[in-house]
Amino acid sequence: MTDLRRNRYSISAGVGKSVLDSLGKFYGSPKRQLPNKFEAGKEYTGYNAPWIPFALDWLKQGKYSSEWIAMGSLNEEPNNMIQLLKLITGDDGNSHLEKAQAATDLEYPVTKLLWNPSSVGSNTDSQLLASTDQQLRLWKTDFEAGIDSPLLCQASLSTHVKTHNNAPLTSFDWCKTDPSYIVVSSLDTTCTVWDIVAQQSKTQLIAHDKEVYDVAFLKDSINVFVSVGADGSVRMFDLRSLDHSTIIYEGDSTFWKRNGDYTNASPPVSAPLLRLSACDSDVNLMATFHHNSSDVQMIDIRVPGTAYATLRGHKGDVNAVKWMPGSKSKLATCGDDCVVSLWDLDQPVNPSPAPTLSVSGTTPGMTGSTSEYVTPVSSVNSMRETASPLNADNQYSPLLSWKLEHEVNNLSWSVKNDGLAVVYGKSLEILKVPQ
Amino acid sequence: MDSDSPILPLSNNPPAARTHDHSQRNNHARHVSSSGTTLFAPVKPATKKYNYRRVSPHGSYISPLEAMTVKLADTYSICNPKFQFSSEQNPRRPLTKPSEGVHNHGFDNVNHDYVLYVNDLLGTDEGRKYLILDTLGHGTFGQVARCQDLKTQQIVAIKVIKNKPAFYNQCVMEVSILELLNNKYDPEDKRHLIRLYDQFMHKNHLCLVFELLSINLYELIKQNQFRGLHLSLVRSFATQLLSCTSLLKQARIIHCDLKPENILLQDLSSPIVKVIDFGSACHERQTVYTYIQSRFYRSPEVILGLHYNCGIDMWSLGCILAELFLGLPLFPGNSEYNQLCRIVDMLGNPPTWMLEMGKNSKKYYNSGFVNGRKTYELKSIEQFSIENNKTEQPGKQYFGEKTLDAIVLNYPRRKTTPKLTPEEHEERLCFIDFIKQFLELNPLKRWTPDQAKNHPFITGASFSQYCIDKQKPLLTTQRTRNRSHTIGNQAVVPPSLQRASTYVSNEPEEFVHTRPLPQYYPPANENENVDEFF
Repeated sequence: MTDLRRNRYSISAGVGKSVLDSLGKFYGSPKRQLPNKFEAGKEYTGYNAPWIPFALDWLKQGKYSSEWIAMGSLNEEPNNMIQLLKLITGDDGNSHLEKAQAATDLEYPVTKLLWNPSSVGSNTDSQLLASTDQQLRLWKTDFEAGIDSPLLCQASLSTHVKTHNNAPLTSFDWCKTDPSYIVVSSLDTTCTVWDIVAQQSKTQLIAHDKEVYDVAFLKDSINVFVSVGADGSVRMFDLRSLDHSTIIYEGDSTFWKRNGDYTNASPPVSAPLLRLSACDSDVNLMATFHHNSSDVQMIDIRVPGTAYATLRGHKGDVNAVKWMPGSKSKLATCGDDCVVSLWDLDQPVNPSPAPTLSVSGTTPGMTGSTSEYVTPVSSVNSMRETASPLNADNQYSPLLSWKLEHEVNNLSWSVKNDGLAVVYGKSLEILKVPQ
Repeated sequence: MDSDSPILPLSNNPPAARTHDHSQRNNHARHVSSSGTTLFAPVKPATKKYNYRRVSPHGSYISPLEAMTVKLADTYSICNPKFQFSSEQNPRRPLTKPSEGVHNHGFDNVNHDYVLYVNDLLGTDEGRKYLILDTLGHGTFGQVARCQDLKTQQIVAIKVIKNKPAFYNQCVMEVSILELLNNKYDPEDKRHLIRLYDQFMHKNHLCLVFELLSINLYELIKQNQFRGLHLSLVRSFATQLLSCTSLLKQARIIHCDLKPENILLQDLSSPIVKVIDFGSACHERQTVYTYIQSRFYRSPEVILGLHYNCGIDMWSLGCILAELFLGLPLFPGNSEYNQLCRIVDMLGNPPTWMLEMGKNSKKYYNSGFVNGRKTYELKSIEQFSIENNKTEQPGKQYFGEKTLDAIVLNYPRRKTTPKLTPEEHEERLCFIDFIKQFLELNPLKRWTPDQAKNHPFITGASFSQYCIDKQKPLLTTQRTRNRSHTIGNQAVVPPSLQRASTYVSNEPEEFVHTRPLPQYYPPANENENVDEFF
């Protein structure tokens, strides 16, 4: 079995197009059994795409919530698409995914997908989906239309005309408090806030000194967002005072140049931060991880400079982290060790005293901060008689973990937190999360 | 772990679970496998195989997340060879304020500072190019940027001097002094002085390349909520700073601006410090400036306008060490008059000969004759305000006590027990005696760094024994005095001659430039005044 499987995969990489097509049809069967993963009799809910999926979002608002998943292809050729999947639950309680509407003939793979987070107009039969590649695009989906209907592009927003820059967009976040705002991050070191109703950029600012890889609005805010990038820092911005930003976190020397694969002439001092997830229940909490790191850094903006906890459990590079919607303590991660993990910060393995604010470093509030940078100070603690360590270094183990067949590249929560959609290899699978 | 966990080991796959469809797929796969074997040569095995991953030119696998973040530009280039993106088109963030270019063909702002941008380059020679990463600070001299040497990838601090002749000339002196200290006196980098790596001209700005250090001691105290440091840490800093000042004395260099802001931690992992900012430094034989030293750390001889030498750095060091322990400056004067008042309040009046010789004595002291001898009395705040046509503010009191002994002994501990242990009490007495040697008003009696190195606060010897030993030289002195009296023909050397003999010295060593200094072209306009030094 093992040899046969390996041969099959290696042949897939090099075989001609016609054979690949037939294999694609073969893999497309939604009722494939994978007995090594489930107990006998349990149904597998998944979808096999003819391409590698990356961008992923599970609809969380409206009367069709939890029924629709959007995913984007990562084809390194000018033939990419956005595919909607419909989750159909039968009378026997078993579910399966069906291919639905799609946007085809995209030139570039999309870096991020998000459904409209607004609950306004949630009873309509259509919903907006946003994506980023070189532009921020808004797609209109009609859930009652035929599954072969195309997704309609409602708008393409770009600052290229203004800046003459062709920079790809790395990610974006859709403001939940006011869904007319989307903030976009870019390789050109900027973040742009768009008013998608007026289809105008509200502001564009230089967020980092190198590429910006992810951005997120803070809970209940239309003005404050945080970003991460190639300079290895988390920065917070307030649209009401853009003269300065607050550095909330910077990686220390542990994260310096763990491999020599940086091609630009100026390798960063700290390894890049690739993705960021802001808690939607606690405005102070967020999670991020470094490039080539198997750890997740937990950040509290009231304790700037260092991580207040580190989640260590993955044995390969982390690829995604997402807070459970509505939770202040639970989040999911996935990585190159083929594992998806669920964590609970309320249940450390070895509890230790809570971190105390024993330094007078700037504590940024919702109104922003007057100091531009906060110096990391954790190491100075060792030189003070009364020092109490900021990084208490609670030990956490995952509540639950799934071992899958391939490296897990991305994940998305369901609206009821009872499921996780994950992508690995060319597959999307829905994992049941016990309540 | 949940009992319904879907995790199962592969070996648990029972044969009975196979279905007909599975078997059919198996057959299909076997067919493809057979065909593959015929058509393709075997692939060389990689150290770790990743499916569905592109291989980078360096031989590592690129994950989808990397392809969509770190390698996004490459990914889009593969999708469309016509795709073009260059980070050189990124918007540039100015670090210098104001950032509008006014002077020097638009390169300088209104203050004659070079306008720095993130990711710009300093230096044009091959092998001497530095990428601007961030700003570290600014001062009257110009600004300091954190940069990366593109040749060695090392992170450095570059001091970019204002495009004005006065600052250029002072900076040339700084370069000479630092090269002398680094290369001749401390080639092994052990005496806690900052290293100067290089210097070059960039757009008519002299740029000095320094090693990059961490936070300064003022910042350290500030982050400790202005609570004092433990005496063991103060001792560690004192030992290092004495090594530095000893070297300066050996080289006959006066720093002239020792203060906590100019003493930086090397990094945050150990209490190793280095002294920076020799922009005010001078040689003992070339003390041309009189307005030197930051006010809190200004020595009595400088305030009074007397001739000065390396001893003024020792006074500053005493103030610094006290501040490290107390968390607040010992003499936080709000004016030079107030500075002198605070010193006199705690330590008494300077010796009469200092007041006699000081150029500024008339400004601060009333003089008169009592019993035929000249006496000096510090002017009252009212008199000083009237005479100088300004309103002097009385100094705010930060310590409850007045004497140095009481301030240090009563400094509260940070634990619940209010009383000092006998060991702690003796340690504080030792510290008091130590810094009193630096806070000696009379520069002729103030200790040198090498004398201070032998104090029990540094050596760890018994302070009690030190006090006992301190009494013995008095007997010797008395004996000597008796002998002199017996001879009856030896006069006491008057203070003026003492001063003269102290300052007689050899000619200063010639400064040897290891590298010719770059050419400087002053800007055309010369009308603007030099900024006030402090």
